[in-house]
This record gives sequence, C-alpha cells and structure tokens, in this order.
Amino acid sequence: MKFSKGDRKAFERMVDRYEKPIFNVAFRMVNDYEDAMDITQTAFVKAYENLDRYDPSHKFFSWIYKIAVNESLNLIKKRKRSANLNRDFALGQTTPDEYFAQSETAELLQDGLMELKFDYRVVVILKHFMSFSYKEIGEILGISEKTTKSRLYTGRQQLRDILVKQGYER
Amino acid sequence: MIDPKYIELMNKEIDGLCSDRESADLKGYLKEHPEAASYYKGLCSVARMFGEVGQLEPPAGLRNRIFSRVFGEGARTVETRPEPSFFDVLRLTFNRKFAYAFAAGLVIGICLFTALFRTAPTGVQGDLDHLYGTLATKGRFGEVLRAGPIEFELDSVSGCMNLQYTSDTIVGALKLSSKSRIRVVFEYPAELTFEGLRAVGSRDYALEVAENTAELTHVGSCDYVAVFKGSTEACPVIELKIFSGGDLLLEKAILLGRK
Repeated sequence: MKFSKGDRKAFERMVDRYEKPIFNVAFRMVNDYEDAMDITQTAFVKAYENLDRYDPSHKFFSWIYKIAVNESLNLIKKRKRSANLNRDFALGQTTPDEYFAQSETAELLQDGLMELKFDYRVVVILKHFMSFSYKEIGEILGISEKTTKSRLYTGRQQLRDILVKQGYER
Repeated sequence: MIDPKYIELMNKEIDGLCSDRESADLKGYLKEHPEAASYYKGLCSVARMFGEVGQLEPPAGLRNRIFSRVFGEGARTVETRPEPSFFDVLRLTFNRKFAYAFAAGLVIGICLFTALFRTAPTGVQGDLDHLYGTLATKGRFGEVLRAGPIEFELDSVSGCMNLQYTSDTIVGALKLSSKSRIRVVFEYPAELTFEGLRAVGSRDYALEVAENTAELTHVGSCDYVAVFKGSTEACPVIELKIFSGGDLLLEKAILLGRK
C-alpha cells in the first residue's frame, strides 16, 4: 500500500482496510469502548501526520499496528497514573450490545486478558484475534521471533491459569 | 513435571505449525502423561475461546471523526444514539410555559389536520408518519410515482429500496440488514438536494452529506427513510452504491422518469 500526504483517496483506503482491526486490537488491549475509539482515531491521525517518516521497506500494516499498540500502552500508563480510573471503571464503560450478547465467554476472556501483563497481552491478542504469524508480531512490536514465541507461550499459559482459577473448565 | 520440549510442541500444535512427525510425537507423549494431557487440554480450550468471540464493529461515527481530525472537515456527521424514552422527553422539556404552548399548538394542529387530512397513497412503505407530510400532501397536486423495488441479497448484506416521488419530492424507503459495517452512498445530480434521513429503530448509524453525495454508515438491521427535494421533471438518476471495507458490493442507477 502506497500513501502520500494529502492523498485523500489513499487515506480512505487505509481507513477502510485497517479501522476495524485497529479498533478491535485497541479494545482488547484497553477494554474500554470510548478509549478504543480514541486510540483508533489517534493512530490514524498519527499515521497520516507521519507518512513522510514511514519507511516503505517495512510493511505498512506493521507500522500502523505499531502506532496503535503504542497508543494503547500510553493510555494504560496514563490510567495507572490516574488513581480514579480503575479497572472496574473501565469495565463499566459503554460497550456495544454485541459484546454483551456474546455471552460469558467474551467477558471471561476479556477479563483474563486484562490480568496479563501488557507485553504478554499484546502478543496473545495479535496472535489469536488478528491471526498474525510470529514474524509479523515481531515486526509490529520490534522484537525477535524467539521473544514473540516465548511471550506468546507464557501469555497463553498464564491466561489458562487465570481462567482455571476463575472456574472456566471445558 | 512436563518436559519443556513438549510444552513447545503443544504451543506449536495450537498454532498449526507442527509437522506430522511432531504431531504424532506429541500425541504419543500426551497418551503416556495424563498431567501433560490435562495441561494441553487447558491450552486448547483457551485457544478455542478466541474463536468463539467475534470481532466488534467500530462505532459508525468513528470513520467521520478520523476524517474530521485529519482533513479538518466541519462536523457534518449526524450520529444517533438510542432515543430517550417518552418520559425522558417529557421530563426534560415540559415546563408550564411549554405546556401552554404545547396545548395551543395541539389545538391548532388538530384544526389543520382536520382541514387538510386525506388518505395517504396506498403501498407507501417505511416511516409513514413522515411520508404523510411529504408525499400525501403532494399527492393533491400531482401523481405519486414509484421506482423499484431494488432488492439485493449479497454475501454480507441484504435489503431493499423503494422510491416514491412526485414532481419535486423523492422519498426512498431503504431496508438494510448486514452483519458487518457497510457504507451506503447515494449520488444524486445537482438539481436534487438531500433533505434528510430518518432511521426507524436504529441504534447506531452515521450520515455524512457532501456535495451531491449522502453517505450512510450502517450495521445490523434497520429501516431508513431518505428524502430528496428538487425537480424530477428532467428524469434525474440517483445512484445507489454499497461498500464494505472499501469494496464496492452493489451499484445501481435509479432512473426517475415522469410519465
């Protein structure tokens, strides 16, 4: 995908293609509908503003996902600094009906993900929700394939332990 | 204690990266080690959970928000949220002064309605309350013509569009059902203007109107009524286009021809 600043059509294509996945990654990462909207918006604005810094030798998707992941991390750090904004608050935010309609499993899984450390959570989300390969995840996060694998395995194992602790047995 | 080599193989198997030989090796190990089998079952169950949870649709207004920020466009977006209940409306708007005005308006309205009432054209679909105000009164001065129905049954979206029009008003009743978010674009000639759109029972949609284009962002099932104004004498053409994720799914030209 090639973009140049000011090219509205190209930017529209970018939004068409990445808006939904970026929004989903952001939502899974921060577990808040409004925040996910803000992250998605900021990611696209930053992508557009920094198009001249984009290195075409790297894949475009990894660049835009990287921006979204960094934005999610920034927001989580901000939340930690804010004593008023705890996890319950985030869970209590407006979420779409569809999300609730997906039953217990969706909520249980999201709760479990939120218990994981950010480094593990992001790898698990990119692997399982976005179906990226180890290599692609490594490119997005700027880590080696080996580290990706190691974080994924640990994240999965921790998620399993959390869910078992919460009584999820299948 | 589970051999770390097999923990690696379990994860590879879940990611679909094991060779046949590795899969067979893992299977054999799991048969002989119940503890490992139970651990593997847990990991598989976690992986399966992800498959059961679908992707969320971004809110309809997000796309417009992004474009507003990037291109500094004015707020042309009309986004709806669930409508407040009748009692909310009463509570928020009814004070004494308003009550007098309301009562007076009601009396005048009843008188006008009695004077002007006539039956609506048959077969009008969509939001009838609003069609009375547009087509029914127009019907006195000219015939109500129809275009459509345009029915579509695509992979991810289905629906139907009916147009009814007089010499200067066009009302389109659009029924849409889609699992994922779509954009419905109406392109119309300069002699027409897009007067407005009303959703019947929609929770989440967005409308962006630019020059000769009205773009509706939609997800789920909903009926809409769109109203255009302008002369239909010159047989204008309204183009209906439906996009999903940037892909054009449907393109139809609707010719409005007078008899």
